[in-house]
Amino acid sequence: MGIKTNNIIKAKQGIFPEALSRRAFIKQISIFSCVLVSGCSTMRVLLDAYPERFKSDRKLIDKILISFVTAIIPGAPIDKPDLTKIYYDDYYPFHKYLSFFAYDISDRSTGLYGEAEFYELSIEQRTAVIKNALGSDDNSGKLYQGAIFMAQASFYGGIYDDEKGCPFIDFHGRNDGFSPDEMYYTNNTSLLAAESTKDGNYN
Amino acid sequence: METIKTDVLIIGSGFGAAAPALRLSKSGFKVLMIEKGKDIQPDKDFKQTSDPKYLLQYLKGISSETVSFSYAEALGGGSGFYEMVSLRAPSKVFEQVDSRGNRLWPDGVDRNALDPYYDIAEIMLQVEQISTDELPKSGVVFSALMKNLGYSCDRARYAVKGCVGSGYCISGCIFGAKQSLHFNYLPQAKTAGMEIITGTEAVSIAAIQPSIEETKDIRLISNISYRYRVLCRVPKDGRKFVIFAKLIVLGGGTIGTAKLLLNSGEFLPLLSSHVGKNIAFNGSVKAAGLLPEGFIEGDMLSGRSHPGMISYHFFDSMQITVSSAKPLPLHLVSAARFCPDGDGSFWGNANAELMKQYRRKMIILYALGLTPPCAEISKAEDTFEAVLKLNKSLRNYYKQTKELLNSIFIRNGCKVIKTHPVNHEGKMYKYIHFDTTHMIGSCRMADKKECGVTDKFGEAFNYPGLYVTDGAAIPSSLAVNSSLTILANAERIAAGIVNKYYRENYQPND
Repeated sequence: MGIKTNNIIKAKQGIFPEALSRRAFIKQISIFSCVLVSGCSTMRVLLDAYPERFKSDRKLIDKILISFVTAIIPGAPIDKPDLTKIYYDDYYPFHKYLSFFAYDISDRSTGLYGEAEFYELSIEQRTAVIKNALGSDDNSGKLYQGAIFMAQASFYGGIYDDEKGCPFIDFHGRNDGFSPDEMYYTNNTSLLAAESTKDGNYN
Repeated sequence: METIKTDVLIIGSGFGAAAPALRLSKSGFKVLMIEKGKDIQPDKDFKQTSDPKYLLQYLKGISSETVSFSYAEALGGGSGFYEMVSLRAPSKVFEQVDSRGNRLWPDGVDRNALDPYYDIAEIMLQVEQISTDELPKSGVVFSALMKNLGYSCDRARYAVKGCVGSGYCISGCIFGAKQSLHFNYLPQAKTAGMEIITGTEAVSIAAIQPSIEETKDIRLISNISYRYRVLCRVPKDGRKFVIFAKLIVLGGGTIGTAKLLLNSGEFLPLLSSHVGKNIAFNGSVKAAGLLPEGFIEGDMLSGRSHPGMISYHFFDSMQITVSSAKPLPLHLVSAARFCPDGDGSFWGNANAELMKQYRRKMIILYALGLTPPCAEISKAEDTFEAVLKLNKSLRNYYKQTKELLNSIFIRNGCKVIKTHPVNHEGKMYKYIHFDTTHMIGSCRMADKKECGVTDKFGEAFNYPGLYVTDGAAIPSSLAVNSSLTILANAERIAAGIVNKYYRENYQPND
């Protein structure tokens, strides 16, 4: 409990010299959700008290993350090169807790479904594992909420691929403008409401 | 420590700073501008991107459980990153009163008084009403929704020339179409002799005891001794230096100016206790919906990022305006959880299917209202926090406004999407949460010191020569985007300064 309290104090004083707005909160979610894990989880994180394979086996971790992201966003292409990049990106502190996250989700998977790896589960089963985590103690919930947010912001935002954006939602990314047909409706006056001002300013 | 001396020090470079910078430079004063954020050359530095690493260089904020204030820190301030909406505040705005029935705006400052300065600001930024031909599809959709219900809806006005419709307005226009301050006020002020230093923060301001002989004309700038000592810091290398100034113009924004003055409290002991208080924020309320089958489609991505329309239909009855929004995907998912109606999950299959409809079927409405000046910034040791107590009146405002927005959807056959704003942990806020870039009033103008920080000329009570010209000076919510009003008021205050002081033997070139 003392460690948890200290982490909370550190999070408020040292990590957040200023509170940030929601526009900045990708980074803040990563920081906060990773620091404020549950009491026993904190101990596991601090003492590195989880199996070695979750610390060193990059392929394992990546399989788990891909399976996680595709449960969050069903239909997201598993071969997309930057699908899980945000979790490794050292701009966001989540990368420090990546191994713990991979372990935790695997642990929960085992608890619910036995020996099958998380990435071997069906999407319904993976969904159940994630729901289990979200509904558990408050701090674990925060960690998973952060991971979900990072998946959505990274994928839908196309933050690693300005050229392509996110074809999944027809977001094209960078562009030199659109054709008039794409931007406007011709002869739109019949669609428009009556105006109440002469020039857009209300007197 | 290195020292610099100047007639006029301008702190900040956004809408509030730019007008005094230009007018005072053109009047022959020695003007130095310092800006905490980075230098920006639009053709080189702006990017079409959703990468937070780029955005967070410039976009900053301060927040709490009930309110978030976002702002830009960069040369040109918010002008590089806003949606260019440039509207005059309705006349009724200036007649708002506080709980005691006292007018929020100082006597004589109203729409009529500001109109000549709105004119100047509009000319400088090349503001025009958008034509019907240039209305983005989502704007037409919004207008159609309003038309169906018998509501009016007007084409808005923008500081834009030659828009190509790429939709990346808020990451900075790479095409030079957005008439940000980089294209008008700032380069003209430089041509007139102003020096700009970026990447430099004003840490504190101290008053210096003036030594002015009573027989001398204190309107002549050369007769004025240096009244203020400003400690500055360059965050990049920690270097500090001091600026001595005769006049200071605070244009660092509602949050920046308040922070600076709160940090200067011990050196400006006679400063009003209202610094950091009385923040109004336009009461932004948002709602999301899905268009019904058969309705014309919008497009969240093509065309300028603001859809082109604003409705004043409810202004007289409810003191709100209604517009629609076209957020890019990153901004959409970082603002709130979107839960398809009947399914509380903000992830998984239903959510993914909802996101597939984002571009053409989703519509976001937002209302701006005349919510009272009841937020503040408080300082605790070295940190600042935004504080907003949700009273019954604010809750009622939120509820009624949200109901109105949802009713626009429902009566048009749209499906309402449940939205839950989230905090910095990705967790839903417990209570109502206001998120805005329109915060104003932290160092507001007033008729007397007991009610504000500056007089109606923008000059701080008890501190001659110390002016506040940015959003901090604006005393009330406006129910429209605040940039043009901030700029117009800054022009008004600058005109007053130019009228009050002069340089000996100065011959302007134009």
